[in-house]
Amino acid sequence: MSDIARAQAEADAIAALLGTHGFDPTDSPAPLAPADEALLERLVRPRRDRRRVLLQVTSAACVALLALVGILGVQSKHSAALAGPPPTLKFGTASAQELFAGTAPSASTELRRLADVAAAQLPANEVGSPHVESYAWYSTSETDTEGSTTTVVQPVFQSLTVHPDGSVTSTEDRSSGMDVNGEIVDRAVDPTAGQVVTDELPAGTLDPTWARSLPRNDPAAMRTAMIDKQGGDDFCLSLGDGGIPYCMLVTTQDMYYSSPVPSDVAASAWGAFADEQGVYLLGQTVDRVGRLGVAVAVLEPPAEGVTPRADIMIISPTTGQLLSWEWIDRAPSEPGGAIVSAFQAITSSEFIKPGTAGS
Amino acid sequence: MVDHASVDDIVAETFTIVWQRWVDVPVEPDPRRAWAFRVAHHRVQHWYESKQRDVRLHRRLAPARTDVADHAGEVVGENDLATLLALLPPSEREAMWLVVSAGLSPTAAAFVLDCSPSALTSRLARARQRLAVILADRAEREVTR
Repeated sequence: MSDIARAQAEADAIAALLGTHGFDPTDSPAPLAPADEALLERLVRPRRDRRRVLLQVTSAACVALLALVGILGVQSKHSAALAGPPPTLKFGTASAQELFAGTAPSASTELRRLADVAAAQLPANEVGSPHVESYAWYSTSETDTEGSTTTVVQPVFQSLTVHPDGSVTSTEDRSSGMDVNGEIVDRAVDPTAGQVVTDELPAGTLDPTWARSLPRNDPAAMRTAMIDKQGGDDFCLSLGDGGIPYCMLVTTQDMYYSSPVPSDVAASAWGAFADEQGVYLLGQTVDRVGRLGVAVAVLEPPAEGVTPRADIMIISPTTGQLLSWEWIDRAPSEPGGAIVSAFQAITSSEFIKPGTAGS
Repeated sequence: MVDHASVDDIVAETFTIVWQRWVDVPVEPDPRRAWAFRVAHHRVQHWYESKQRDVRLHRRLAPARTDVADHAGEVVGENDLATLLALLPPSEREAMWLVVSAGLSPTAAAFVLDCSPSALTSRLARARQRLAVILADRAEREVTR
């Protein structure tokens, strides 16, 4: 039996099953009234004829252009095909399996070294509006009871500016949309693929000075600030095992997501993480945009019925700045022992003159 | 699932695209329906993407915010087919609705969903097995009432 015949047989069996239980599964549209038919004719017929004539007239002149577009289209499709669901990164010290098994080493020593690297950086400009550009893949996976997983992957170029009054301009360019099978959506069918979506959030949404006001070269004060930002010790501890480092990690992501982070603030953060248990070293890696980094990870507090997840931070060994972060979900059957559910790589982070971008 | 307020928007956007691309729309009725459904399928995907974007933004901007579950399904009649279908995972629900309810051929449904006939068959088989369990459970509960 062919796949098509099997599919039809399954559909017939579903219809019969629903019928047995009193459901009518058919959902056929009602026939159009004559007046609606006439309206439809008026809407579509002239347009079709007019466009067809226009196409015939212009087709000869477009041959050369189409040839060029065809070549570019092939190149574009080829590069987009590289954007399949991302494999897990390779790490120099410990694997994702070791991380989830709890056998990865502590990151304390490496984090202290990174804190020293950050503290040794020359001061940079801290005047202006925070502006951060990044490249991210967000995916949503759903696994059914038979273990079949459906994943939607969304590659996004994001640009975020926090204006002096705390208003935010966030622009996301979904430039290469993927379908549920992880394939590039055919633009001929969906002309809105690749649209730029801009959110304008009102004054007071984010504090443009927040990252600059955090403790500098003071890990203990930084630890308190990072935990307070997420609701305090009691709240973070209530999340379960690993709640404290997880809260600190979320604050770190918030910092880098919305602002350049001064090097001595970064030094405080890495020093605070170095003093925590439950921060693991994955080691040297290359992030999604090709930069050398050191990966450290925190296991998210476990929750019943939820696949264990780890948050990975990739830190530059030369500047002590956060380069990227990733979320990975434990998946013992996968080659890397995990599935990447999202990542974000900061490609540019600077203070800009107010009004020069995103407004 | 797509909320009621967004359904009208998605339908309007779908037919706007169909109208704009009318010259490319197949002439035969069945392929034409499949073409329109495929546009609608992508509009629904974009709706989900947009929702997820909102969720990401809210997660950043209000980490302590807790979402309240939508209980609309609880007040819908139990015999409503839509309520039953809502219990299926999206990929199975879509496959089932296209072939069983909308009456598309398996070939056309596979075109709409951008998947192979084999994948479509798997989704339908899983939907059937899941529905059998759900319906048997409902029947059992009705007997014990």
